[in-house]
Amino acid sequence: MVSLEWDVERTDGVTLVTLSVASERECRVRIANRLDGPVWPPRRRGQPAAGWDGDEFTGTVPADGRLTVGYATSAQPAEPPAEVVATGPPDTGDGDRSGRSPRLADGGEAADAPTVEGTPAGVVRSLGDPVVPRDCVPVPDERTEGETDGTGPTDGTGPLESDRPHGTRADEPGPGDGRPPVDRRGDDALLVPGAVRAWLRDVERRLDAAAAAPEGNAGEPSERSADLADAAAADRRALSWVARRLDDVTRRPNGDEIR
Amino acid sequence: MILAVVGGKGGVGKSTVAYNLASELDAVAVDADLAMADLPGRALDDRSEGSARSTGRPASRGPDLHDVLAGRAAPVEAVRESGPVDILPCGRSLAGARACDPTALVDAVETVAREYGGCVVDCPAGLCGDVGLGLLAADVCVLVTEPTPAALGDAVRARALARELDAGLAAIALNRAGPEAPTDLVAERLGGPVTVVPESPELAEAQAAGRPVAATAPDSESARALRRLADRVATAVAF
Repeated sequence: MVSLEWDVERTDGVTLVTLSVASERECRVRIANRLDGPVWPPRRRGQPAAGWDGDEFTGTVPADGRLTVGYATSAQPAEPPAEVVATGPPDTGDGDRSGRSPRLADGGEAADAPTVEGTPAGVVRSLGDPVVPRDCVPVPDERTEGETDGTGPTDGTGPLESDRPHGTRADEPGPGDGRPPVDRRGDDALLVPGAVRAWLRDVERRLDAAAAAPEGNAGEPSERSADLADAAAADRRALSWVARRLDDVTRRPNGDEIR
Repeated sequence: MILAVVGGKGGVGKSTVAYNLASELDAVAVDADLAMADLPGRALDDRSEGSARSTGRPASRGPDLHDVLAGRAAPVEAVRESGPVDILPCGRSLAGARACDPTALVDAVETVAREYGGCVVDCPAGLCGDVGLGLLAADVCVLVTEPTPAALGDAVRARALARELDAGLAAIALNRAGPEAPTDLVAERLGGPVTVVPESPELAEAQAAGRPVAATAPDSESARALRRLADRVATAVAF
């Protein structure tokens, strides 16, 4: 006999679901979300924690304890938030890993000998995401487009970007032609903080990617497209907020001089 | 059939061995060093990429592994067939590396192997996720190491990871080794047959020229050693 207890909490538009499964004897359970929204499972190095597959989680309830599972969703709370949809005998060997890993995913009990789950997501969970950190990607300067002096890469995707003498060139007098900075030569990029340019670059990339997202031939790409669409929607909201703020700021008395 | 070339330590000659094995086995060499790529042909790519960069226009090069892993190109589209060995090159820019989904590597490599008959995946140094993904995709692996304590220590760890991910050890390449190299010890520690690849200027020159040593110096000791290594791989798995 398997019993499921839950705790549901909604905060800032996100519903946090905590599930606790108890059983009279060790067994394997599959739990499915019943809330009307996407499941955001806990992630380990960017990949859903072991045991998660879409909006279902599979794990092993220990004989002397409980299996606890948590996830987030944008759905409104409802009762029950989830159901045990299948039970079975505990797996030994491979399947047992997913029974232990949820605790691993929460950052505890990682003392077991390192085992690598034989799936792409499992490999990244165990060994780390090889993607270069966001901070090490130089910010390209799109305004130099077509205006290169021919001495080499200038868009910042190469190492030269970091070697450019930012400090010295920022001291040069700006062209007083009254045009907005966006139309000037690359030197004026220095007037815009790198963080702002980096953010805009990332937003542009996401919007491009969302527009060009493949329809998906397997399960993963379509999920990725959905994620991209969500991210793009959030980006658009952020952009319009920033646009409003920029309008406010540039309308201030001294704003005319900036323009 | 998919072969992963791993080593753990950097600079032991993985890319050189991978490229020459791809040549011997008539397979596609996949440069899976997602953050820094170094198979032959890179120099050429860099030039065209650099000029495209400086003009600010889209690069005139073809798609690469970064594009494949970002979902912008099909795996077979990114294979370059213009050189002496078919290559699936990796992108060069950090922005490209940042944009890709490394877990897509497994599917990409399997697709290329199906279309071309075989892949040799040149895995990066270290034991991060990209090495694991290469091993996960692979049927077997070749360990490349050098007769130095640091390299051998890393090779032991790479071997353990390969075992964990079910990539059987087809052969060990003991690179830049002299006649007195401790091949028996290496074979015992790593649990596989050892092929010594001697230090050789012919091999270095061939690699720098972007050609397999079998094409530039077929009778050199290194060309013979790499052929033996390829034969070992071929007997270990139906390549």
